[in-house]
Order: sequence, then structure tokens, then C-alpha cells
Amino acid sequence: MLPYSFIGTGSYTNAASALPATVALPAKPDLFLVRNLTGWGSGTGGPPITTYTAVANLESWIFPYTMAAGSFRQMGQSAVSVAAASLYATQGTSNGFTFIDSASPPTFAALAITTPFINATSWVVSMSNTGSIAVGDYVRVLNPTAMLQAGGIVAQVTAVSVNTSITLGYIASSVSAGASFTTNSTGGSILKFYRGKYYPKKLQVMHVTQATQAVVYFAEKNDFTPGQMVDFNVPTTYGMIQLSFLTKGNGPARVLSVTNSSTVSSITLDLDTTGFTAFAYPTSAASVGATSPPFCFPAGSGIVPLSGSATVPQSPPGTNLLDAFDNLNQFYMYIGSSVVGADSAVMQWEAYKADFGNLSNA
Amino acid sequence: MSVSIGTLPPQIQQRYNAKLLSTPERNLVHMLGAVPVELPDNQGFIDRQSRYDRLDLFPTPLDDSQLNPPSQQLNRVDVDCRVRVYATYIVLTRQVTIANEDPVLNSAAARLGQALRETQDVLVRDQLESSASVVNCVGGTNGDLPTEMALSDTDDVVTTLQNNSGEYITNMIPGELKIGTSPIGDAYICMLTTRMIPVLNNMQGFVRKFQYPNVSETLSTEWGGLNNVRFFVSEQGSVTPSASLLGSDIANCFVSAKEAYKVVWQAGGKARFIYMPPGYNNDPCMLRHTAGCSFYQGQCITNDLWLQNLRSTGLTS
Repeated sequence: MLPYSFIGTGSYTNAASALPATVALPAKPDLFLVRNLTGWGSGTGGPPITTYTAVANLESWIFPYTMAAGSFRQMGQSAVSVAAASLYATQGTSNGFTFIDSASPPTFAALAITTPFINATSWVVSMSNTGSIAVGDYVRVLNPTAMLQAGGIVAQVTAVSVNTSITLGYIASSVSAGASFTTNSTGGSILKFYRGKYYPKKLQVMHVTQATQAVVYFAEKNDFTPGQMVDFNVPTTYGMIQLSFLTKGNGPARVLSVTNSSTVSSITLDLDTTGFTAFAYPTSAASVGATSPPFCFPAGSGIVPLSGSATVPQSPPGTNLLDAFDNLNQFYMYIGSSVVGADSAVMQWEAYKADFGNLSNA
Repeated sequence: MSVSIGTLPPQIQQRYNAKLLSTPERNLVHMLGAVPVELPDNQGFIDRQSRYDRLDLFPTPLDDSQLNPPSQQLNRVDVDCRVRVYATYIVLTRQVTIANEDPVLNSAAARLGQALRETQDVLVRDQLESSASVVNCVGGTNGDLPTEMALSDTDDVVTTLQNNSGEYITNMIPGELKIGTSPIGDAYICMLTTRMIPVLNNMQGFVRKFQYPNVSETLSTEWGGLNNVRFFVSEQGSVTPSASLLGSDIANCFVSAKEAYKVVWQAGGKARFIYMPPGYNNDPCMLRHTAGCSFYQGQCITNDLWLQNLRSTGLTS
């Protein structure tokens, strides 16, 4: 007997046009279910449980050890409204359930950037094949010809037009704030990947303002917190070298406030940069073989400021424990478009684990 | 029936050799430069250490009016490190352990121990990869960004660490009157993947370990040295796949000065082996053994100035 233990449940609500979802799990499940609560019992979108149509009310996933990543549906379950059962191998191996261990995530192949390539202002990246890229995914910009200074940038996707383009809106916001990208790319590729979950993580700097309280922009959501201390390594090709290695002087800079909207990722520092050299990315030609990217990285913990004030700390002084170095890796289930459920539906997921699902055969 | 080799029963044809074959074990290099810290039990799960920032120098003399100079502000920076729990286990049926001539549980313990130590090493590796400052190699000739590592790149990172007042970890190995040897300077340590070995061997001035004047204070994981850096290689060294300008793999080569990062272990949660005989864990008929291991560990960079991620391409596939 291999009894299943219930290890977690949760819900999500699909958008008007349902998109793939990712849910965090407390452990690696051996059985995973998704149930359409909106359509449950109504027969809407296909009768529940007994037969399955293209828009099923119950999707399930059992983890046999030979199962391919991205496989979905339980063995012996029929995929369409036919009487004959079929094996999971015939049910499709894309857009289904994909188990993800963020400490050892799956990898993807790079996808070509196609004409008209990367727009240096809007950061709309044209791609005739967007693959499985979804909003919120992390991508790396590879070899963007004529825009080589952007090579290797890790950015988060803020919009997707399937098989047309993706938008790197956080970079576009940094351009609006003054980042010096002026020439569109003429080629390149995009690599999707899963970011590690170690905290806090260094981030490539997209722009830094010259202000009494400098604002630093990033290409992805940042996980810095008010009160945290940060430091920089800004090579000479990026101008503002006065930011580099603040720790060896009077100490690292304190984060006063953090912005993480749908298109803007930035931190405001208790640091006056008005007298510093202007921050600017080099030209494409100047970046070839001559530069390391500018990075912001964690440098310690400080007193939490009151509402982003540079001079007023929380009273009593707040000790920031959110910025402790930590391993936040977790297990996830990626619920692909074929199993995520109906448009606008409220979906419930359940995860189970077999007590002894993995007997060693030594 | 005629008797020949082909008609011998299988158990006659075969002998079970009780001496086990070796299991590949990876080099554990990422904690070589770490400061070990013990977090006492019953005192939370976040270890905080503090550092006081430097004060400004005061080279201007007081004039004859003898007025007190302006005071300076003493700043402190705290560095927090959270300890997490890690565990795994295997299940063996009693049928296996009573039927098998081989002491399977002994092998299970050995393999669990290996997995535990390699996991501890990987945790440190990934934390360094996540948080450390980055320097791209640009001195190579492969046309990528970063390029493959070259002498000028190691000089750059040594200069950065020296500019940041980073102290060396190992002492100089002075020259001796031995043919084919070369002295090694006081050195920072570099922890990197074995896929970088050809790049190391090709660097101008690289001294292989066997060319050291004295190898009495070296480790088996050490590959060699170059000026003021000594290189320690591991099969599980950090690699970021397809991340260079041209889409090649990047090796994250962590060059560390003294006291740059630490590993925290909870006093009551140090590495342990946990055996449960049949009858435990919902096993009323006493059919299954379990063997597990666990440890409590946190890791963090304690001074961002003193640890640099020197990124290089040119890895072998």
C-alpha cells in the first residue's frame, strides 16, 4: 500500500484569456490535481471527472519517474471524449504540468529575435517564435547586434504577444528615466531561464540618477528592502565610478524605499550622487571586449527608515530581518496552457505525496 | 548432457566480488575560504554579525586656538544569515536487507554522507553565485564577452581585491633549488569548475601544482597558481549555461580574500545520520528501513569587497 498524504492546496483565478500559472509547493508531489471550481458539477466546458474534453474540469498529474518534463494527465485517462482509454504518452507533452525544483531548474533553448528586433526605447523584442515565454519569466538577451552593450542583460518579461513579440518593460522604464540606449538591435536571441532563489541577489544596474537621493533602476523586479545596505561595482565605461565599492569608504548605501510595479523596478538610496559622473551605458562598439556589466549587490543590513525618509528611522528603530542571506529555493508546479483551466475560472489545486513512492531497489 | 563452459549454471559461472567499486565523489572546494560559525541552539535562526565602518583620516593639525575638531559618526553594518534545514532519506525493504549478502545499509550511509557534503558545498556555491560582485574576463582572445580567462584578468581581480584591502588566504611558497619549479606568491583562492582546466593550463605564467617548490601544504583539489591566485577545481563548480554574449556557458570563478564569506551551522543541527529500523513510519508489518540525513546550514557573503566572481568563457563541454 502506498498511501497518499495531502501536502497542500490553493487556488488561482484565470484571466479573461487564461495564461499558464505557477504555484509554490511544500514538497515534490506524486499526485497533483487542478479543479475548475467555476465549472465543477455544472458540465460547463465538458462533463466533470468521467470523461475529459479539451477543456476539462479536472486535470491531474501523477509522477512516474520516467515521465517527461511537461507531460500531463494521468495514465489511462482519456484525453478526448472517446470511450477508449489511452496512455499518458499519447496525451501530449507540451503545455501540461511541469514540476520545477528551482534549485535545479529545467533549461531552454535560445529563440531568435526577428525583424524589427529590439526597440531601444520601448524594449519590445520582436520574435516570430516566443516559445513558452510568459509574463514574469526571466530572459537573457544574447548577442544583440548593434546593441551589444545590452548583451547578457537578465530581464523580466512584462508583456507577451504570442509569436510576435515580448516586452522588457523594466528596461523601458529605465530608458524613460535616462538610460542611454538609443540604437535598435539588428539581431540577437532571447534565452528563457529560471532564476535561482538565493537571497539577496546581485542585479545588473540599468540606470542611476544624479540626485540627492539617487534612484537605481533594474531590468527585473528587485528584492531589496528598506534599510538594507547595498554596494556597487561600476566599471569606468559606465561613468559613475564613484559608486564602486562604497564599503571601503564610509560604508555602503542604505535603501530608503523600493519600487516594484508591473513595469518599474528601482530603489531609492540615502546617497547624494549629484556630484558624481553621469551613469551611461557605452555604445555598442565601445562595449565589445572591454567591459564588465555594472552590478548592485547586497552589503549588509541597516536601520529601517520611516516611510523612505533619509533622516528619520522607524521609532523604535526597526531592525531589518528581511534582508538576511537566505536560500529561498522551493518546489513549484508550472501549470501550462492546456491544463490551466477555462478563461476567468476559479481554479483549485491539490498536491499529494506518496509515503513510500520511491523504494530503493538495491 | 555434455559438460562445457556454456552449460555451467550461472551461479557457477559468476562470482560476486564483495569489494565494491568506487562511486564518483566530487571535489568540495566552495567552503575552503569560508569562516565557520556556530549558531547556538535556542538563540534564533538568523546569525547576525556586525562590522564598524572606517572613520575618515584626520591629517590636518589643530591650530593654536586648540578648538575641538568636528566629530565623526561611527557607523555599523550588520550582516544577517538565515539557517535552513536540509534533509533527505532512502527507503529499503527488509526483504532487501535480509536477502542481500551485501550490507546495503552501509552503502546507504556512505552515499547519504556523500550527498550531504556535496549539498553543503553546492549551497555555498549558489549563494556566492547569487550575491557576489562580478568582473568579466576581457583579456582573452575568443571574441566573446566575457572572454576566456587570461593573465591580465587575474591581475585585474587581484588588483581589485588589493584595492579593497583584501588579505591573502595562503602564504607564499618561496623558490627552492629544484629544477622546473616556480615560487608562488601570497595568494587569494579561486574556486572554479573543472571545465576550466584547459583555460588554466593555457594561461601565460600558470604554474601547475606539481611545479610548486613545495607541495606539502597543498590540497588534492588544487590545480595550480598564477601570481597571487591559487586555483581549486571541482566538478560541481559554478557554471551559468548559455549566458555569454555569444551564448556560451560562463564559468563563475570565485576569487576570495580572507573573511569574505561564512558558513553558519546550528549547534544542535550539525550533520547527522538517522536510521529507523522496520516498524517506524506507518510500517505496522515491519517491512521497511529508512536511512536519512539532515543538517542545518546558512551561508552568506560577509564583506562584498573581498569576494569577486571572475566570469570566464572557454569552458570545455
